[in-house]
Amino acid sequence: MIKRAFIILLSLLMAVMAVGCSTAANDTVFSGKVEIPENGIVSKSTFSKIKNDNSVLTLTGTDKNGIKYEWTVFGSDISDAKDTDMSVIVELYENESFKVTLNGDVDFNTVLSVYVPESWEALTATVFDVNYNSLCGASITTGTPSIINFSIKQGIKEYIVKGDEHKEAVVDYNNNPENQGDIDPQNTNEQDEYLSGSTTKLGEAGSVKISDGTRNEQDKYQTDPVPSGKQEPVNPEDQKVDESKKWHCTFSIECSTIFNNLGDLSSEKLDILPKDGVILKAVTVEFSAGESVFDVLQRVCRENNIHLEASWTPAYDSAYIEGIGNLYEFDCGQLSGWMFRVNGWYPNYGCSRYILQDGDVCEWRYTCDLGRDVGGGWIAGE
Amino acid sequence: MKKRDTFSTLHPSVEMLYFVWVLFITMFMMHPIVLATSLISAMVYAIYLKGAKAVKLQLFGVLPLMIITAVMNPLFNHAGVTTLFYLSNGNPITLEAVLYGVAASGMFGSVIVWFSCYNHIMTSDKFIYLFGRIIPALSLLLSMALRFVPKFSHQIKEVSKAQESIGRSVKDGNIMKRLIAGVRVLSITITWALENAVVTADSMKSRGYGLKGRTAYSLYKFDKRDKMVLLIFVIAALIFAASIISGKIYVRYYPSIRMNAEGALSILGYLAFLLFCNLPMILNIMEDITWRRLESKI
Repeated sequence: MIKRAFIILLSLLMAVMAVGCSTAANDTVFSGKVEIPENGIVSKSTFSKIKNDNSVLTLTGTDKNGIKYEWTVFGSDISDAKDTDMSVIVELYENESFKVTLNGDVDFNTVLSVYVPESWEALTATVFDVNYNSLCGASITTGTPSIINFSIKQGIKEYIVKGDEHKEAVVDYNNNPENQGDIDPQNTNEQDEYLSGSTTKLGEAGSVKISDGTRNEQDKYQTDPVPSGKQEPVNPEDQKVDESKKWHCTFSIECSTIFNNLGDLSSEKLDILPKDGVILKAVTVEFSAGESVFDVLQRVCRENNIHLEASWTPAYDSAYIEGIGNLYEFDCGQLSGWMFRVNGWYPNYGCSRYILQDGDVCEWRYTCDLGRDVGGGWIAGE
Repeated sequence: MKKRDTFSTLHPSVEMLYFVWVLFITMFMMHPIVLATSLISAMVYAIYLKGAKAVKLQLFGVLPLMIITAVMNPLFNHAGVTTLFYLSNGNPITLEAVLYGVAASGMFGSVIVWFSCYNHIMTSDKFIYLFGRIIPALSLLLSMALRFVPKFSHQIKEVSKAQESIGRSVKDGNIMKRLIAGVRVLSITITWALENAVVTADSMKSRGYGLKGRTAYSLYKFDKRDKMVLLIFVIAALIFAASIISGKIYVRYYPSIRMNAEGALSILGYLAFLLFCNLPMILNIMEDITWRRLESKI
């Protein structure tokens, strides 16, 4: 009697388990990479599946010239699942630009990554429509091939992507006539003390020393020699801020390299991953002369309600950025984390020691490969 | 009169299984409802077992620890999408981190209280009975280690009483004298503890402990009642496991809080866990009712 009851109960349990297991939790999940078939048509069932599962899918394909491309499709963006031709034609132009033509009607917003088989010099790129109206920016993952990530707007079928003019990263403040005129004669003595480097307006807020490349050993915070023509670090305790002098810089935060490494991303972070890879579009920020990149980052994040976690690291005399927008270091593989570059150069010291200058372009980028994928290979010893 | 606990009269293997499962679930589930169930059940059972002593432990030992754990987490962990306010160093205090801290403190507290129940019920003879055959050396070591603290404090009291009677009290004299007396008591007790460990091990060895073919006297018999309780255990545990595996009981704290929607299977899971946690109490209450009925019949 008891045995029979026990067997019935057990089989009931099995049934309950089977029913329970068939429906999974409704979190965003990464459902892997799918190759686009020869004819380019991705079936309705694929789209309705990722729509229902609320998952993220990577579609990979190769165009007729052998150029690889990749779509990152969020299930939540699909309003109406149907058979869609996802193939594209990439025409490479000279001077770091190319044109992408979509063969089908892609009626949802998504991100396209194009693997250009050449190494681009440009730091960023701009996307235009056929009439050369600027649509949005594109991020570049450096290397060969260079990966260009940009968002596709529904309804537009042709995109022209052009690498932005590679601005000379070295800004020699001493040759800047505006700065030259400002130098106070009283400061010339101080300037003489710094024989190994030239300075801008030393002693004043925002003044920095420009490396001439003669320093050849590490400083006490293990910073390797700064390349010639780049800004030397200013330790936070020596930082001078002049509230009355207002300068401007361009600030942006983006993480589009994650789209090319979605398999490594911890699954719970898919929910907060921005769909175009941009956490903060390039904005012009006002700051007081003498403020460091970290000061400005902290303020910008707070003003734009972007999450930021930093920890003070005495060994480097700087703040270390652990996570921005809840994307943390190591979230996308063991080699991932946040890096910053100013005017195209990734400083080899912390963001609290980099004093911003008027007109600087500061970019925060998420790397999945110790900086190699975002053009900051020095951290990996290259 | 001290209440007699029915649960501790069950077969040791059933008791062990109960504690292993309940501790395992409590340690690895961060689900608020599961943790609340576990914590409250553990507290009720501990109070039933030990009365005022358990209340004292929970109020002055467990509660402050829980509060410290809950406060510590948001101070050092800043992940989460809902910012409440900012610390002076610019890092945010997030709702997610606060709630995770509360959940972690609930887990911490209930594990401590469950262990206090475990220590009361799983006496060392039960432990040796269960593991003496399989891992003789380790189980002897474990039971000696688990018994060490209460035994040691008892011995300290004994030694200091003896010292007091020959005029070397820790309560008399100036600080220097007291200190010397205290150190002497400690030194005597430590010597005793070391010697006692060796003597225990030797005496167990000389009695053939751990040898092949050696039998041990034990009063435990796996009877019908144990079978029934075990059956209920297994069913409740299976239902609960099913609702976890199917994702019906599920929680995530970072970067945003996600919890399962309450459905039939998740509620069934909570009820199964509630039943499981409170089985000792149910057994006790049932026994009390039977006892009263028998009493009135006489």
